[in-house]
Order: sequence, then structure tokens, then C-alpha cells
Amino acid sequence: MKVTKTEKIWLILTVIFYILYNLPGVPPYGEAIPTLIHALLTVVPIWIIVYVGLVRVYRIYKLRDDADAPPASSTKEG
Amino acid sequence: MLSANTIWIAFGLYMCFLIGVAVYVTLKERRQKNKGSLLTASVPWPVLVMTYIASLMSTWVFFAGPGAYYRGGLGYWLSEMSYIALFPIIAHFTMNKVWIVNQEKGGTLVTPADFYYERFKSNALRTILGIIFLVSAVPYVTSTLVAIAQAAQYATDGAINYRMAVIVIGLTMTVFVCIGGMKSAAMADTVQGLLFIAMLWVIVIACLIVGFGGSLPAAVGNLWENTQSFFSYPGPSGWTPYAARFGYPFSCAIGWTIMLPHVFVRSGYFGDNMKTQRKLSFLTPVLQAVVWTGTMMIGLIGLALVSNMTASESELIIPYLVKNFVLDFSPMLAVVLMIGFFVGSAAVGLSTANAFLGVSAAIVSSDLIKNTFHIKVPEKKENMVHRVIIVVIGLTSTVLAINPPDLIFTLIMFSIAIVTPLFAVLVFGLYWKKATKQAAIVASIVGTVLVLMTYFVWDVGDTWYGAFGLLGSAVTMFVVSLVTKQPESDAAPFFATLEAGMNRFYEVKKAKKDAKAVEK
Repeated sequence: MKVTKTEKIWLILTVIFYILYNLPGVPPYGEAIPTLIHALLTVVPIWIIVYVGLVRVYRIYKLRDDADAPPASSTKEG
Repeated sequence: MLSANTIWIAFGLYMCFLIGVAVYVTLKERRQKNKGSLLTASVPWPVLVMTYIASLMSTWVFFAGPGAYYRGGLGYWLSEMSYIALFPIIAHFTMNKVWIVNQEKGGTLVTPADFYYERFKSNALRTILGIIFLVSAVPYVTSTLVAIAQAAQYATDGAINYRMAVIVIGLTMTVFVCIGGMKSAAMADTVQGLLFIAMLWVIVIACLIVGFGGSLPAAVGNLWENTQSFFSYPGPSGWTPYAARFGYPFSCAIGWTIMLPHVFVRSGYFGDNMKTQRKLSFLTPVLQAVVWTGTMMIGLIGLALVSNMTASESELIIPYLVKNFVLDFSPMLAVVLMIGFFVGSAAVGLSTANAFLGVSAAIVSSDLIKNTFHIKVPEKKENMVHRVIIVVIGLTSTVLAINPPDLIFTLIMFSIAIVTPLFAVLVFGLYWKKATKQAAIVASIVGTVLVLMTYFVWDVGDTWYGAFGLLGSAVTMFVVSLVTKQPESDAAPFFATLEAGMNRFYEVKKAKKDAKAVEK
């Protein structure tokens, strides 16, 4: 299964920020302000990276015009 | 607070709605002369997104969720936000490819194990996975019935008998799935999903008005002054240490939102086209954030109003706030909110139970009866057999819920964990042609054993969930694949199918061109 460079960058950046969010010892226990700053610097970027990456990857993997056509299984719905 | 009659009438109306949806879907299918299985569905994006969200919400949103934020604080919410965002990327790399293969197979895949069979061509693997997925499903149905019956009992101050509530709700669930199948469950989720997301926020706003005159800054300011631990790790009750901040969300990202069988079939099989799959990826995190934030707000407001609730009291924080604060403010509003709490808990709980019931029946029918014991059921009798299986599983879950085993809630928690290691098998299967069926079998067993050890030997299940199992299955998958061999002809049709599907749904040539441009 081939993976494009954009997908690799998307995956790596997400993993990096997920690891940064989960660094043990950061922020220190019981510290409210550092917790908020830590969230702004890690959780918010995870959301931004995921959605920006999603848009870029979708641009690369354009859907075919007939992608909306009902699949063969549509007559087998339960 | 509410009379038993009020609850029964509210539940009766809700039951009529469910049966109405089931009858409508069945008649519509007959009019369109569709002769499909009860256990599969192909649905447009609004139905897919809402049935997926409703399945995730479960009784957690109205029950355990607010209590969890009460004890875990903002750090717990942040840890949830860290995994909720990951869904689109996980879905892109795995579930959209699962969906493509299913489309290429004519939408014939029914259970999660069916997909693994397509890749590894091993009946032994299919049986093992079928059993693991079934084990993860049944406790969930039982636990949902337990939670809803407890809600009815609490809302009526014990006027409704717990056992009676379990029996009525269990029978309703069984009849509903029996008549309408998976598609009616999905349709009902669409209607009720939005309604109960709205109800959740109505409860938030009502509690905020009653407690703090409608001012969120006042509630936050109160907490900042009196319980600042809410805003930091590990939270007011020490619930979110660094290990749990990783272990819990990580298992949720994989186990809960991808690998549990009822969400696996929804994200991998149910979409009617690729645009629907993409909308699911795009909208799910946003909707989940809206719901989970509402749940967090109830925990926040509850803690700002009452700071000394025990763990079990905090599980019922919504009815507690209604009884102790809203009732004095406006009895009518309190009644409306309490009915909303009960019907909301019942609805989102039944959504999950219906979904699990449907997929459990599919696992028994397809993975076990058809492909393990090789019992051939005539096509005309398939739906009747499916109904019998649904009735048996539904009644078994109901009987279990009447006298729930002590371990029931532990079992639920490791339902998520026990399916997490199977994700490694899925990823290796999709991206590594040398992955073998022997490795898949050993990795599935090793991952499951490690999860059991995490819970029952090392006693760290509440912190690490399925993380060690996933690591173990990934390493096992790699190592055993290197030392074993499987004929290339086994996997070749799978990769050919995937390649053909990619070409069918994507402009692959252009994608390659664009990829090269990006690389330059």
C-alpha cells in the first residue's frame, strides 16, 4: 500500500504533537496556568494538523466523478 | 421525584417511536423490494454520522461522563479532546480502506472478522476474532440495560422496580432490532441523536442558570477560587495522572472509536459512498467535541455547586442537580429535565445496545454458525435465523442484567481494551504484504492475553487499558511474520481488490502526480 509524502508528513506531525501532549512531567501536577498553556501548545495543534492535513490529503485523493454512484450492494440493504 | 406512571408514559411514547421507525423501515424496504439481510446496512451520510455518534455516546454521556469530569477535571476533558481529533487520520489510513474492500466485494462483509478473513484467508483466525468481538459485545448490552433501569429507579425514588425496568427495556430493545434490523437502529439514531444532544445542552444551560444566574464566567470563577485542582492534572480526585492521560485516550482512539464491533461495521461497512465516508471523518470529531464538552460542563457546574460528592453520587450528578437545585427554582423545569435525563439515558443507551445486538447476531450467524460450524442456512430462512439469534442474545443480556454479575462493569471496561490489540493485525494486514495468517493468529491471542494480564495480574487495567496488548500484538505480528510463510496467492487477491477499489474511487494517477509534485 503506497503512502504519499503528504500523508507521511500528516501522520508524523500528528504523532509528534500527540507525544508532546503526553510527555510525562509536563505540565507539573497541580499547576493550572501551565496546564492551559500546555493544552494550547499541544491539543490545539493536533486539531489544526488533523484538519489541515485532511483537506490536503483529500485534494490529492480526488474522488472520481462517479464516486457518488450507488454501489452494487445498494439493493441488498437491510 | 417523578411518579412511576410518568416514567412509564415517557418510556411508552419513546417505545412507540422506536417501533414506528422499525415498521417504517421494514415497509419501505418491502415497497422497494429489497431482500437484504437484517444485519447489514448501506446508509447516507446524515444517518451514518448520527448512528456513529449515538453509538459512541451510550449511557456514558448522561451517567458516567459528567461524574468522570467531576472527578477528573479539565485535564480529563483535554485528554479526551486529544484522541477525539485523531479519528479522521485513523479512519483515512484504515477504515476507508476497509470500506473500499467491502465495496469491491459487493457489500457482502457483515462482521469485522469477515474483513480479516479477506486478507489472511484463515478460518481459525475468523473464529478467534469472532469470539473476541462477541465477548466484547455482550457485556455492553447488559451494562446498558443495567444503567437505564438504574436511571428509572433513581428518577422515581425507587417507585419503579429495577427488575421490571430491565425486563421492559430489554424486551423493547429485542423486538425493535428483530423487526427493523440494523437499518432501523441507524434511522432511529439519526432522529434521536440530535434531539438528545440538544437535551444535554438544555440540562447544561438550565443548571448554569439555576446555579450561577446563567453566567459561565461565574461558575468558572467559583471553581478557580475554591477548587483550582479542576484546572490541572491529575484533577480534583487525582483521576488523570500522566499514565492515565495517555492510556485511556489511546485505548479510546483505537478500541472505542474504531475496533469495537458495532463501530467497526459502521465506520467500515455502512457508508453508501466515499463522500459519506469522508463526511463521517470530517464531522465526527466536531460533533463528539460538542457532546463531550456539554458533558464536561455538567461536571464543571456540579463541582462548582457541590464539592464533596462521593464517586457513586457523582455518577448520578444530573438527577442530583435536578433534585437539589432545579426543583427549588422551578418544579416544572425539574420534571422536564428529569424526564429528559431518563429518556435521554434510555435512548442513547438503547442506541448502543441495539447496535451491539445487531452486530452480535451477525457474529454468531456469520463467524460461528456459517464459517466455523459450516451449517448452511437456506437463503429464504436467513432472516428468520437472524431473528432467533437476536432474540436469544437479547434475552440472555436481559437475564444477565436482572442479576448483573459483580464483574459486569470491569468486563465493560476491558471490552474496549480487549479489541484494541486487533488494530495492529488490521494495520499490518493493510500495509505489509509479508504479514502472515500465523502471525495474525498468534498476535490476536498474545494481545488478548496481555490485556487480561493488564487487568487481572498487573492490576493496571484502569490506567493502561489495551496499550500493552496493542504493543504486544504489534511486536508479535512483526516477528512471527518474519519467521513464518504464507503462500503469496492467499494475500494477492486482497491487495488486487484494494488496488482496484482505490482506482475505482480515487483519481489515482492524478494523486501520484500530485504526490510527486509535493515531493519536489
